[in-house]
Amino acid sequence: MIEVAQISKAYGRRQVLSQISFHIEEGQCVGIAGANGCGKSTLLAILAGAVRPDGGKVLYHGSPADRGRYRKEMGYVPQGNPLLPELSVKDNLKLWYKGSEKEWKREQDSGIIAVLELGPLLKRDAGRLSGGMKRRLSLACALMNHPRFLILDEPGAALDVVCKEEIRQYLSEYLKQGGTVLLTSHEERELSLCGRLLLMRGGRLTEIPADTQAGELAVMITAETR
Amino acid sequence: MVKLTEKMRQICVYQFLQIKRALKLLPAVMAVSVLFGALAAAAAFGGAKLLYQDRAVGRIAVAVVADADDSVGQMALSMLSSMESVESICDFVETTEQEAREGLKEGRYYAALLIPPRMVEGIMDGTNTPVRVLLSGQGSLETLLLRQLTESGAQILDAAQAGIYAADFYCGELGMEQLIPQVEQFLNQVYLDYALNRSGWFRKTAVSALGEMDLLGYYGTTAIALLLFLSGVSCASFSCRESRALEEKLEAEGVGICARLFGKILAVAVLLLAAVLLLAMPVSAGLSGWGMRGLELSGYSVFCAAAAVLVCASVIVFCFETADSLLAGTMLLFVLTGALIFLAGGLLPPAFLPGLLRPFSRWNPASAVRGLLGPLFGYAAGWQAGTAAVCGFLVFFGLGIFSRRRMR
Repeated sequence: MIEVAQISKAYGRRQVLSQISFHIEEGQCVGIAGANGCGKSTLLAILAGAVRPDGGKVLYHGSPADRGRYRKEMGYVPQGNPLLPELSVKDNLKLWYKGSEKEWKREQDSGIIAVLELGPLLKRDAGRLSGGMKRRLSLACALMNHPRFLILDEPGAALDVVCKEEIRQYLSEYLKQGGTVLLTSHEERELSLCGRLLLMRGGRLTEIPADTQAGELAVMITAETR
Repeated sequence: MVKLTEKMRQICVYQFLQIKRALKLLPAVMAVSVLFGALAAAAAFGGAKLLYQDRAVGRIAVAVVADADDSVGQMALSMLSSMESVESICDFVETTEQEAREGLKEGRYYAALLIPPRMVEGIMDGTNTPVRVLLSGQGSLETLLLRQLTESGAQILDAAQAGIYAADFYCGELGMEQLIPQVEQFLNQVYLDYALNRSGWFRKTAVSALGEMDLLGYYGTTAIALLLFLSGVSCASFSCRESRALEEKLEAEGVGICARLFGKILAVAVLLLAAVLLLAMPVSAGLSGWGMRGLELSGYSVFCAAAAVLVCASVIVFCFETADSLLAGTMLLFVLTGALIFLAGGLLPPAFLPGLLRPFSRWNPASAVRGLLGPLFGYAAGWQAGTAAVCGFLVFFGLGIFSRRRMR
């Protein structure tokens, strides 16, 4: 489904990604682990089309991923919350929503707005929401168009346990329905969703067993950092 | 085609929401504009008070020492002081010579005229006892003007007398002494007409360092331009760069740097235009209430004002984009605004700027903004202001994109 081939990226003299290649099959959940600042977010931003790589390419069903189809079928949740704080929850959702008014009604009644319990908050300014609700709204922004492929950069970062669990349950449901997920995380619970696990070290990706325990993962990451 | 349509749709939605977001700041921008306006008015009022010390400008107090028994001299003096041109600038105070000299020393009088007894008779019989004019040694503008005035008057009198004596002599030579009173009367009339009412022979052309504009238009456009640029401070949070997450997501959705930057500039411009139009109405009413010319709110002037706010918005957004922090952006905006307004001749007319800086007075964004605000005061904007506006917008838009790309 997604083929990443020879992706490289440098910021100034610092080489962040070196010749990264991997692929993701439809319905898979792939997790990327690694130390802070190792380039996980850069890789995800490149896959989302937000950052241009210095070299390499991303293919979606065999076609370059900068085409309209990829944009339409991909949902991206960056590390921070991509919200306009002065605007209402509804306006923030409308910014990314590509459907019709009729479909919007359906989303509100039984779709993602209802599932993520954002209905009662539609008129509230996004800047006034709690951290958990902002994250939920960011997720809703990415899911509004029912993407087939979801890119999540640390979806549960800085959230309380309840919020993390709610988001994890939602992702689990999304995967059951056939969705494809690529996520980065430091959380064992989130990574436990993944059928495949990749470790980023020194700008390169290595596949590690999906059932790697947190302790072992920490040792691998620490070894790279030292 | 489908891709383009979807991308355009996304950009339009983003643009619409940015404008909506910007308009939420309208009350804050208006409040800050009113505050800045009040501060500027207070500064201008205080400055004027300090400069002129509550004294009427342009009145010249002149002491006159004349013989109270000389009825003809008194009559001539009364004629002189009632002449419209003299009355508008001079106050004649009859006093004694000692009091006049003391007044000169103390600065109460700019000059003292010591009129000799039987002055008029002296002029008539040719003895010409001169009027002694004492001027204060302060070298003020008023004193210089008065000196010029008296010297010119004396020269006119000399020429008139020479003409009359020549005519008298010629009549005598021809043995036609009986004609002398008629000739003198005729010549007096001619000389007086020439001396007192020569302005009718010339076409009046007003030349001002302010250019085509009057004082209200000149400082009005400067004040509004300053307010527009400095209103950027009240929408700083909006003008600053978006969060990295939002930028990434917009980029991923195909809303590129140019669209994002243009969207922000357009939103700030709409906000400033709304503030200008809402404030223009009460300001116009206020000006009319004080007996001054109100603002002209026509389609043309609103269109020009829209172009002006677009240029202001490009400068504001550039400052906050480049500085990438509220404080640094605010500082940059203040410094840049001051420099641009000064170079545009907004504080001092361009004629008083050093020669090296004068070319910048025409080709900078602040002069474009001032020029485009001219129609609000009844002046045409002109092609030069339009060209400078387009260039200014493109330069600051380009610089904004450059600084954003560099910081990525």
